[in-house]
Amino acid sequence: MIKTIGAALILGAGTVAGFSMARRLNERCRLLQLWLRIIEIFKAEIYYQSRLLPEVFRRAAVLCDDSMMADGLRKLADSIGYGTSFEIDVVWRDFLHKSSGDMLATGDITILTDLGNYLGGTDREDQGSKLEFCKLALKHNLQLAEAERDRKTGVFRYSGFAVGAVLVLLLL
Amino acid sequence: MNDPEYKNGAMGTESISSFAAAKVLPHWAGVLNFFPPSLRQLLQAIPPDLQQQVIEIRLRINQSLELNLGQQSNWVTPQGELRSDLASGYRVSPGDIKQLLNAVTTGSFYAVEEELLGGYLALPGGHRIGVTGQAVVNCGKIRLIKNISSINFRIARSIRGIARNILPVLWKDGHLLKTLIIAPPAAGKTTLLREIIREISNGVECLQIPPLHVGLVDERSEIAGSYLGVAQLDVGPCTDILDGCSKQEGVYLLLRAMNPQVIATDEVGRETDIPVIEEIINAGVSFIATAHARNLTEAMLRPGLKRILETGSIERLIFLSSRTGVGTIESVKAGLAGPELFKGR
Repeated sequence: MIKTIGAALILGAGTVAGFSMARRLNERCRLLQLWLRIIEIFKAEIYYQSRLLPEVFRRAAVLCDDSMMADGLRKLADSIGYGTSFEIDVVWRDFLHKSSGDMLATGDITILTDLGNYLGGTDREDQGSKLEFCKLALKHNLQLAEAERDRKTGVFRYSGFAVGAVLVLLLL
Repeated sequence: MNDPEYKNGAMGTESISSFAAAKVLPHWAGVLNFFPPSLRQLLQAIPPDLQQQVIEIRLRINQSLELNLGQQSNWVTPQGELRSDLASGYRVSPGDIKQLLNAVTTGSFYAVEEELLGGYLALPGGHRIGVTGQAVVNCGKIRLIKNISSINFRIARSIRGIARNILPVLWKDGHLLKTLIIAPPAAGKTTLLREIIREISNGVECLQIPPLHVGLVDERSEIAGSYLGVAQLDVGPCTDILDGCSKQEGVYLLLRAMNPQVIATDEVGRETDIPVIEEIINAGVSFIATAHARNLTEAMLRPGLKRILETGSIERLIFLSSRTGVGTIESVKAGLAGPELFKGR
């Protein structure tokens, strides 16, 4: 009886671990898609509307369709209002860390951190071209992430169960 | 129209002195909101009676923090005290300038670049900051100001009631007389102009002045202090504002589109302003404007202003100075060759 329960637990844990790794791949793709949408909103608000950054972040919070990201964008907007003491790259990095956690790959984080280094600090034309560059880089990463997801999701799910099963056999 | 100060009735021109006696709306806390915490802490310590007198806060990299009180400048010490000794002032660091710029632009340089090219930036509340630094010139025009080294924070002031004693001499036979306010810089001419606009736009019951449609061409966003197209300073309910537009373009547009009874604008005196004023007169519309000069003699030495005055279209000339404080009314004349209707003490 104890052996059966133990085997079931090991199999369950292996399967959950496999699914969890597959979910991370899915989550990275979802976050990259969300970021592409946010960059589009930024570009429209900055390049075409010339709104101030706090307004841009608030507009993006309304339009991004993700409650956690929206919450982070609102807090970001509040932290850079009139009369506040801030460095945009510092508050941006903090926002990135809180909104995306460790779901994004290092390459994705590097692109988004770079965006924070120049966001707001140059003229409108330059902001437009840099946002476009950021969008292209994220799109490329998204394509790679989707390919990786398609390739590895099934493998992770099955291998999680398989590793659990092998472990059970070895222990028996 | 329902202003209780009017209902009390005291309207004699003998009480005209300067803005100092008038009601200054509280503004210091609103001003400090734009400053980053480090500078705010220094400026918070300024005594309240002096806070009301500050018209400009000037910051220059590696120089003392300066407060312009109208007739004199003082320097803010690191303890937040005001001293007349320049050397005792708090030294403004490049970081202070960067922080203040960040705080007033919310880090959105792209959104204010066009305004900064004109040398100033309008803020909520009607305040403005002027900047200087390294100009990037292309084809003889400034394309960018970078490495900003000086900031002049100009505080918008609404001073209610300062126009009330002048209005009786500006109103005759049911219409506002064509008026020019002449004063040197920082003597309060824009403040007086704004207040006259507010009064006639509201209407003044005791003088039987109905609310007038005022068309305001606010070329440098100084009169209404517009921010994102919304007036931050009270210019009355019947005032149509054309913000950031040249006088030439703005006056024609207002005459065509808005059918104003009075057109108001700031700082006339160039040759190019003459046809604008002629156009207003031909349209049968009254106007009120300001011009830079210390007195009539100095005004007549400026060719453009001289020609405007010699047209005979100006029916009232108001002379301001800072003699007994900002907004001292020196005299009111009935046109260039007309009698003096009021003489200041």
